[in-house]
Amino acid sequence: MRAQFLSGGSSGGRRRALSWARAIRAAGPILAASLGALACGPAGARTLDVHVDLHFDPAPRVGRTTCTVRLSDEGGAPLTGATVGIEGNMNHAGMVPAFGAAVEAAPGLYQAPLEFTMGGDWFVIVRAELADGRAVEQVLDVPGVAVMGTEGATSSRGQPESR
Amino acid sequence: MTPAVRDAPRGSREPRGLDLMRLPLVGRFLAWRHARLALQIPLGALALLLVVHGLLGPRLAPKNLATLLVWVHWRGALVIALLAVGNVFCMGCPLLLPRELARRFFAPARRLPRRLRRKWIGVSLLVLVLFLYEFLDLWASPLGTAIVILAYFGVALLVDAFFAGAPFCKWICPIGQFNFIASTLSPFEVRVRERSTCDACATKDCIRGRRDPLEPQRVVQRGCELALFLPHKVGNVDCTFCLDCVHACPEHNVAIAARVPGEELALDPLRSGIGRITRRPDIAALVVLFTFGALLNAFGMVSPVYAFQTWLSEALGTRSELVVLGVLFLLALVALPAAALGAAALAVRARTGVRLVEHASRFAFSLAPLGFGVWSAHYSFHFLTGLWTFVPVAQHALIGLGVELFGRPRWGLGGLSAAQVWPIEIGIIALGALGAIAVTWRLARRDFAHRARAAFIPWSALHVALAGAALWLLAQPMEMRGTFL
Repeated sequence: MRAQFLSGGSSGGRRRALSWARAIRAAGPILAASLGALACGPAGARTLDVHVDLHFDPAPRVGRTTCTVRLSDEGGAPLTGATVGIEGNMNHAGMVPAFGAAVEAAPGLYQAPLEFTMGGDWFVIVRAELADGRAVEQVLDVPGVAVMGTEGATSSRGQPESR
Repeated sequence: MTPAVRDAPRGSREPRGLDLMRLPLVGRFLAWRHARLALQIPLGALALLLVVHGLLGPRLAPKNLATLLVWVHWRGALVIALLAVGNVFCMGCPLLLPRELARRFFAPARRLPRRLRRKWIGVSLLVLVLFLYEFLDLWASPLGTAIVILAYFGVALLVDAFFAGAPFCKWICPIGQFNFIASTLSPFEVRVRERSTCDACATKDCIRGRRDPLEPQRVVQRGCELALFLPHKVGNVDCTFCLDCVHACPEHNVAIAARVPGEELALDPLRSGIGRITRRPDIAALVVLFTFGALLNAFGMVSPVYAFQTWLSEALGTRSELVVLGVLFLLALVALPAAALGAAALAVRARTGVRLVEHASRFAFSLAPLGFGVWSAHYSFHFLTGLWTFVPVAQHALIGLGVELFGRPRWGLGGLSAAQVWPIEIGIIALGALGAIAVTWRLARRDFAHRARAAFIPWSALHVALAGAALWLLAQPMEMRGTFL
């Protein structure tokens, strides 16, 4: 059994996709100007002064796991009394997401069950309403969720990034 | 080689069964001059929506209409339409809308250079699309998907702005080339109703276009831009179901008729706009790519591929995904087909003395049913398991626009379970393998007559082996990853 906290770094695939996206982003503003009225907002909002970390026990593999969300402020102090929900989804379109309502197991630590239904690249959206009323939404990559019985890739690869 | 069954008469046989043009509502719609435009406009609007959402919507693929509708729904609907009817997606292709608009203002006169009038560009672009799909994780990139759609529109417009006819459709479009091969397995075909009517026709409007009687230089209804002269047209290769011939024929002598799927793969008459397919190594290469590309595309989404890629990376001493993926593509699309087809052809040569490459090229067409089976099984999996996922994503997009008319997103909507889809996949692969074996038998009878078994057994063994490989692949745990190192 292996447990880990996920907060920094990024998966290779995501990093490459974003790098490619940057390269072609020059075309974006032109199209954005002409089509801006139809735009939708981004899925994840960055909250700079709140740290969101993920921890899985057991480590991400196909099947059920317990997802622990650690919320802390910039100084590392736990953020207690938040209402936390998580959504797991695959990078590939067309999959049904998994949702979980987390309960606070210790100060700043929120736990929810989560089932990885398929191997591959996942991401988890953490949505939290803090005790002071602020809303936090962060997307964290969980790359290379291994299929049961195969060598897990997440232990040796980079940690997912928060967006 | 002693071809025992000589060529069929020129052109397809006259239709005897169901003709879509004679169906009450469908026939009237298809006969309507603006039928194609009526399909293109909504699909064009949908393409615009996908581009907008891909560029400006959520960056998360499962929540973006661009990635969802292109890589899950469009691909699934494409193979289902090809299996159920024919090349209807080329019929409604919105890529041609800008060029139709542009051609109202200027009409190119020159033709694509003769040396380029082969499928090699289309084959290369199909390889490129398959490669980019894996390398750039397009299935996980709404922005990348939107850029691909825009690039497609741009290239189609550019090519058809410089050259007359429909060179983009006929020679270049990789999706079109895919559809041409897949539609050899479709149950409907555009063909003439009565050969005698065509024999008596003096104007040949179906190819030349219908002229204004008062101003003969002016074409009021164009004929086939893909150079398929209907009386000599055989099968669906190169036919985009554009309906130009239907609308141009003054005798209403064009049918969209039922036929035996795959039968055209075993025929080798002189085909209008194509010639004999046995003398078209480019089309044979396209069929090989179509088939082995299907296996490679499925291989890219299952667990063992990552172990193999990691091993390849270590063996090559590089962590460059470009290099590793490039080598994988070379192995899967060049080395493996050469070995597999070479082994079958060698076995036939040992017993009949055929020329190796020529024989392999003639029998490569028997791979098409199996290739289509693998594509269909793979795409059906995504389509059926994610069937209703467009509902919450559309709801989410509408909420982003401030429209809450359809309520909160129902994220729980999915489709069939993987376990429910698995028997369907097995059935599709089995049908593909049976089709490949049936075509092989026809080809063997055509080329070897009483010695047909000498060719039938090795090639059928190849089809069984490939079908087994496909089933093994589809039985593997799915592991949809964008990276392996």
